[in-house]
Amino acid sequence: MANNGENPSPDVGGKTVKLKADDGEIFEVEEAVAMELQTVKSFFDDDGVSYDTVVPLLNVSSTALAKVIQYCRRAVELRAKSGDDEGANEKAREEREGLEAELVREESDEGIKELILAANYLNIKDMLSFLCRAVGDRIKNKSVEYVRRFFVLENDFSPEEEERTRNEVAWAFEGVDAD
Amino acid sequence: MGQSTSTAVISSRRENNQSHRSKAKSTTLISPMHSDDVEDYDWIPDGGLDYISELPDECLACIFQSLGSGDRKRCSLVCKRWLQIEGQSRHRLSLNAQSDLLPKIPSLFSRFDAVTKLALKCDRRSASIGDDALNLISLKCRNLMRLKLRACRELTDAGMEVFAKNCKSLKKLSCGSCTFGAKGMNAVLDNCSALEELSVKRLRGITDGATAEPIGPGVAASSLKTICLKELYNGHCFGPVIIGAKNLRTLKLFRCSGDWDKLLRVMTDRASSLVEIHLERIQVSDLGLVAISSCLDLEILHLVKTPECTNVGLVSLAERCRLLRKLHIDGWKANRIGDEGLIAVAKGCPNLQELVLIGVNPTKPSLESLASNCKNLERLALCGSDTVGDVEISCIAAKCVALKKLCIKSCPVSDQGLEALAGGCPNLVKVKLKKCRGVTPEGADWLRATRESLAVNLDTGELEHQDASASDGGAQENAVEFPPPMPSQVAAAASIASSSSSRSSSLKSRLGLLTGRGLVACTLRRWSSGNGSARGS
Repeated sequence: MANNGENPSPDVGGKTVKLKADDGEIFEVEEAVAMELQTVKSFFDDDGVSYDTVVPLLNVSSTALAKVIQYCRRAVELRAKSGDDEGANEKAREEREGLEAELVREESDEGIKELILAANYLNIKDMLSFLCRAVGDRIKNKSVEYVRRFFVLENDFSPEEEERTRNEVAWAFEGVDAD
Repeated sequence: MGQSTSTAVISSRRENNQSHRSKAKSTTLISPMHSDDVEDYDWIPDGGLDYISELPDECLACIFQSLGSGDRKRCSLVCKRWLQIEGQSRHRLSLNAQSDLLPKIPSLFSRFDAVTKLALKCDRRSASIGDDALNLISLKCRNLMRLKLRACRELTDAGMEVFAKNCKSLKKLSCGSCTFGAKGMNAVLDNCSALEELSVKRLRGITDGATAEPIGPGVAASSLKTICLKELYNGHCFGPVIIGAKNLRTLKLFRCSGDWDKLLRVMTDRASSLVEIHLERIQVSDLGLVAISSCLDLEILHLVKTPECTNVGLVSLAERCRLLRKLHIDGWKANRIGDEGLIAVAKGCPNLQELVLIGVNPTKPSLESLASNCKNLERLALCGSDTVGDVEISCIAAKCVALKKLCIKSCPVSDQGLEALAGGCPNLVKVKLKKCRGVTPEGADWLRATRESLAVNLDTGELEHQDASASDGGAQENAVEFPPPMPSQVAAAASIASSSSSRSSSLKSRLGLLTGRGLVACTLRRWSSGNGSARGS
């Protein structure tokens, strides 16, 4: 996975965009990849903003940004591969799922949360979606207490409130509604 | 990997982090539903580092979306903020609809204020919610899109009418074992102009005979895309809505009494856009099939245990429904559909992708014809065919070039047939063999070893649960759970099929071996109470 501050230079002669992480590190990224980040896209959609402008991403660490860029680069490549052919689409989808699995497998719980914050701030829908699913997987079938510790949250229910909520919730079925 | 960023950077990023890093304080009442969490996480770091833990609302909602109802329940108990967000992001809710739900409704629906898909299920022994509860719910869920009712026997026509007037955006209604009647159903059809899917099973309030009130078409007729009727005594009163639904794409009729040929003819006389038709255990004959042949867009057809449908009807259908992609036939061993019909399908339906034959006896000529003409045939299931043996498998292997999945069940196939599969069907990915006495585990192993990319699933078991079959013919093939009958019984079945009254007792004795749950047991219970007679609950 990405080393801190890895900044591969684009090998195509196309336009590039400069992104600045919260610690000041600059990442130069191909335009197509940068536009995956809707926040960046909106930044340039404003009239009069030249592509030379460095985009300040104050809420994203360089570690997270490097990973985001790496993922988006691969995602753009894979999307280019899939087309009308059902077989190629299937293959591209599998590869993308493999990419996602690889990304989350190596992340600590803290790391995933940071990536979620980054993907949310940068507004990358697909990435946010699979990251949230990954977190969901990590808290599935865990106790309430475990989930609190995972997210470092305190229980602010009074015992009575908690009891009441528990009882209310008892009306729902245990299983997932198949629909 | 870890976070190697400095404190300063993190604190500049954090907006409103309320969390402490303290070890979780011990609280009472935390009894985990699943106590499999044994890890001891030590969240107390050294120094003054704070962890980022405050995810924005939309991220939390996204996480909850990936969780099932049990996990969502646990998340709602984490803290007050989570309770709120979980409730607001809960679009799907399934409630135990007993009568004592009523007082809980206000608080439940102020917490879950964005529900669009609701299931209200009661069990058979308890008293269900009544009209007042449904009214209250409908006022709280004005944007309800889907409603599922199960055994809510206290709901009346009046209650359904009030509901329909409050929830006009309803797109899907599924009700099973309810007791309201035509008035209630008509109220839904008259108020819910966006209704796309209607599923009704065992609606007890539809009266029989002369007093039967027609249902439909209503304003929903033009929006309805799917109608599914199961186990109705007076299903014909739905005639007007079935006929009136001009944009209907899917029609499913399961075990509804009465003769359906005429309705099918009237329905298809007007332009019919039907794409999918399932007919199971209903009285329909070749006349009905001829009517269906007017559905030129038909892609999916299931004919299950409809012994009045013969080769004649299938031929006329095959000649016109050229877009047929999926065909399931359960011939019930009545031998009224066979090679002749299948050859017509082969010639008329070049797009056929999936073919499931249960209790049908195809022989080499029809299999060859299917293989040669249906170049897109990817999934094939043959169950309970006395005529499908090694020769037939060899034919399939040699000629079905596009085949990806093959399922053979209760057929006289042996290990020799497997040898043919080793060298044929170049695109075959999975083969499943179930209750084929001539196939041995050694034979299956040999095939696996010989053809490594092929998944071979061998099941020799006597009685199994209805397993979730991975093949696309799953639902149909799992319905065949009885052992292959002896030749004498096949002849008996053929004669039985033509006299419905004796059907129940003879087949019941044959199936007397079977116990326990599953589709067959339910079928047994139904048959033993006789066709069309009044049933108790």
